[in-house]
Amino acid sequence: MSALRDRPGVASRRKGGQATSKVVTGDIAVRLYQAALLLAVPLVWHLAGGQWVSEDVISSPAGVYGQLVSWFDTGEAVSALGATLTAVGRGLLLGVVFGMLVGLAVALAPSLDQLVRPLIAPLFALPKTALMPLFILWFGITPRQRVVFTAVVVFFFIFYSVYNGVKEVPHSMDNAVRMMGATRYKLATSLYIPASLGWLIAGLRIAVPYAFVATTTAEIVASPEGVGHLIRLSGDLFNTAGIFAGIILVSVPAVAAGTAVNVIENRTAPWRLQQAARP
Amino acid sequence: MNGRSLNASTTWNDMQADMGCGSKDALSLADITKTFRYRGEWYPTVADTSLSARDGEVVSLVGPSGCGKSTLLNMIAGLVVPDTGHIACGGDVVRGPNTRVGYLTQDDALLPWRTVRSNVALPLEIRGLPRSERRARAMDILGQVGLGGFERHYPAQLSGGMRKRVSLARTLVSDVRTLLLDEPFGALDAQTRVLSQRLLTSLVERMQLTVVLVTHDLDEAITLSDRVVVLSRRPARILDVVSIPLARPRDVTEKSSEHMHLYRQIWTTLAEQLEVKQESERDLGPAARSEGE
Ligand SMILES: Nc1ncnc2c1ncn2[C@@H]1O[C@H](COP(=O)(O)OP(=O)(O)OP(=O)(O)O)[C@@H](O)[C@H]1O
Ligand SMILES: [Mg+2]
Repeated sequence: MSALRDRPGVASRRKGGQATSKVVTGDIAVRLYQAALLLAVPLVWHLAGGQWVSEDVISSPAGVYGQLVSWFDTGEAVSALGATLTAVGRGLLLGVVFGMLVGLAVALAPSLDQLVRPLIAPLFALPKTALMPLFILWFGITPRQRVVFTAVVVFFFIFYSVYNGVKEVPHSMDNAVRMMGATRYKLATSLYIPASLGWLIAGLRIAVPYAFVATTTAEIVASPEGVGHLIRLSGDLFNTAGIFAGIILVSVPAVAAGTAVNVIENRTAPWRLQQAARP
Repeated sequence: MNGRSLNASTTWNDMQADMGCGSKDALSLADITKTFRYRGEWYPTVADTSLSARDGEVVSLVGPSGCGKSTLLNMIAGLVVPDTGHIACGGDVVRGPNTRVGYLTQDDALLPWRTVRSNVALPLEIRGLPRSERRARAMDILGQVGLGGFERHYPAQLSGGMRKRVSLARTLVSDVRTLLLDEPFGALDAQTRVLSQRLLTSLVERMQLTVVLVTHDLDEAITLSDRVVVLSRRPARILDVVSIPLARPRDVTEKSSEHMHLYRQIWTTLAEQLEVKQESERDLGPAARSEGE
């Protein structure tokens, strides 16, 4: 269902850059369907609860709303969100900085590339969740452990994007800049780093939602705080409404952050939008 | 036919001998060979080629597709190292990327995230010139290639012909005396091509540039060049060097009978190369034949 809801949105955003007027009518229809779907979900949920499926299983919109209100009243929501967002933010920062640096270093230094390349694919394929017990062993059940776990997840996405970004730079551009007398340093700063920045943003698009996934997972597995902890606690108490409330609580900032990445992308790479708009 | 090409190559040798020391040449290639190795196979690409261009001379290279013309330019540009022979540019032996030449490759190689002006200013930025000077020189040269007013556009917003001119401006901005042009107008429509050729001619005359031009368009070669070098199919060797004694200014749209005569001379030499190639392709079997026809 979420896929259905996403696709038209993505398409209309892509078209949105230049040829807005042509797609406006189609856009409005799509928006209406989206709004209808958005309203239909809680409605069907509300009607289904207690009728077709037990409320113990799916709770109800009212129950979830009540849970959210009570969490906000007690201040639990704010402190949980605070813990989660702090871990996500720090994990992202660490992961992006290291992913970017290591990605550039490996891609630009042939000897390093040869050395590391065989390790990249297996490390990328490794389910990072499997590392969590190790991190708990090393760091204990601490905020640091959750930040490091998030950073590791983010690192791989960013590393991969930047690494591929450098490898995708056309040979002709490399030659052109070399012929201007560029040193290795200038070549990196005027060609490879800017070229990989576009890919960094593409990497962020994936890394940001996954940072939320990583932190929440770490909190569900073991944490005395954070939204994941609230979800885990609700589960332990058979509080279905609490689980749904937790999911909504963490989804809102995750979606907002994803949107922010898109805005940044459109701001920082105007040339890319215009390129896409060309037939 | 044979007699003519022999005659022309004698002229060529005389010319080589004339220049003796070679120090007057803006560009000289001596006994260049290059063989590529790909998947265990050797591909001789350039064979025993000697070539030179005087200061301010325009030399065209024509030859069958895939014969090694771009490879020759890559070697002059210092991007490909020849197996044997040496290349000198302005008296200095070329080692590594040759910053004394401007190289307009088949692909325009503009940086898509930079505006037109900032693309053109890049060579100056790399040389560490102050921003104000970079801007002024970029704007000046953009005006000269007829792109004033487009400095804030991104390459993706320009037509193919405009991108080529931006690329040309980028090579000219760093005061090179020698230009290597690889089929610069090949992908353009006929009208744009004529305009671009005129632009190039006027720039070359004004800036006193030495040019090595690779082209498939014999009219273009004849109109723009002082000499046309006809290359064999791979591995490239020089079959004929045709001097173009036509008076300047010339224009592609006005072809004199002398122009047509030169055209036929070059074409006859070139056509032989194409024919042989087709025959050898026919030998490959029915699949190749149906494709060839
Ligand atoms: N780096 C390389 N490695 C292997 N083979 C190469 C390399 N560069 C060029 N070649 C081969 O050398 C031959 C000549 O290539 P080149 O690009 O010089 O041809 P060209 O005369 O410029 O052709 P066109 O007119 O089609 O542009 C081709 O067969 C090509 O496959
Ligand atoms: Mg070529």
